Amino acid sequence: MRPMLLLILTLTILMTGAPQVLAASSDAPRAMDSKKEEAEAAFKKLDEAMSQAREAYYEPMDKARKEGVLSPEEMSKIELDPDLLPIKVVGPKILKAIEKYVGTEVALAQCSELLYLSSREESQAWMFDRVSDLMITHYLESESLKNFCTMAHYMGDSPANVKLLRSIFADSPHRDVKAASGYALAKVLGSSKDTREEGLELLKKIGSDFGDVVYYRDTVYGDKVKGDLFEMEHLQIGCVAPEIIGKEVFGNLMQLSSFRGKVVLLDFWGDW
Amino acid sequence: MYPHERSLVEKYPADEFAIVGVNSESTVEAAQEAIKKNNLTWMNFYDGGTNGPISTRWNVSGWPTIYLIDAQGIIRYKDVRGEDMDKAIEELVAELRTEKQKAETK
Repeated sequence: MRPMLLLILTLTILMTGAPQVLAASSDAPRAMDSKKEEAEAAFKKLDEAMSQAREAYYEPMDKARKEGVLSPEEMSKIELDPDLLPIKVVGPKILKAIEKYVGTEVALAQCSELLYLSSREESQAWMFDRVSDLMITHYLESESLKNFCTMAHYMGDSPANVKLLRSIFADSPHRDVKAASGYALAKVLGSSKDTREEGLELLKKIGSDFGDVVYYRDTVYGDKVKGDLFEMEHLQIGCVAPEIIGKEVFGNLMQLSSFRGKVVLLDFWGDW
Repeated sequence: MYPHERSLVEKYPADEFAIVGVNSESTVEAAQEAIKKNNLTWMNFYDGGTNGPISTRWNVSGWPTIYLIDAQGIIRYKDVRGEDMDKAIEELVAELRTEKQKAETK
């Protein structure tokens, strides 16, 4: 129940656009409130437009599914119209609304979603650049940046993502945001050959300086980093598989090394 | 996933290939139920939840996570899926057979 599930959770929150309240320090709280409401209404409309765009984009797949059960291979052969990519169709409108309502929390949540979507499409790199610049200019103080940071390492090692994470890690006044951005930055740097050493150093630093900060549920960064370091050292291709000794589901003792001499498919699974 | 895994277990002799599961269900009853329901014929460690000691040590953060280990106990593939997984198993089993033949002719 860590990053993948976390990512899904975070995305769900983003997609459903859980309204968040901006601490209004303005002299005109009422004007602030009405701007917030206006922004929420605007983004809600755009969310709907996004759902419709998704439906239109995936229509050929839905149609195929209705006509009969296809194998995953057959499904992957269905061609989707690249001009109907939801991020291409609705993304620019969302970007415009973000620029209009920049500073509100609801616009920040939309920034995260746009970054996620544009990170997956090479042709939309320009959008990632624009949105990440907006975040650096307007949101470095926000504690809600943590939502973005917890999924930032799924957004690749583009210069724009690295720059954004570096800025957040350097300038955020919130310790939990610093921990999350530093961890994501370490992962991103560690995934690329040229910056692997820097990533490893930063990872160790997060483990020691932010070890007590909660990563997810009852796991703190100290434990998470320990796990990552163990993986780097002992769970890479070419390593001898670490021993597992324990009880199997029906109570008998078993150990992984007793399968030595056979090819083993080790499968971590759950039926959920 | 399960029907495909079952077919792999059937495809190779038991002294050449095995599946070892690590189940992350949060109760042992649920784990036993899942094994019966899906007709799994291979052994599964019970880890007591997604934060269990085995998953934690192996730094697993998504399910399913797959490792392919060769006959010498070396990790050879991580997170291979579908056809790639089948090819990888085929390769490792072929390797094992070659090694066995070599040992016999000596």
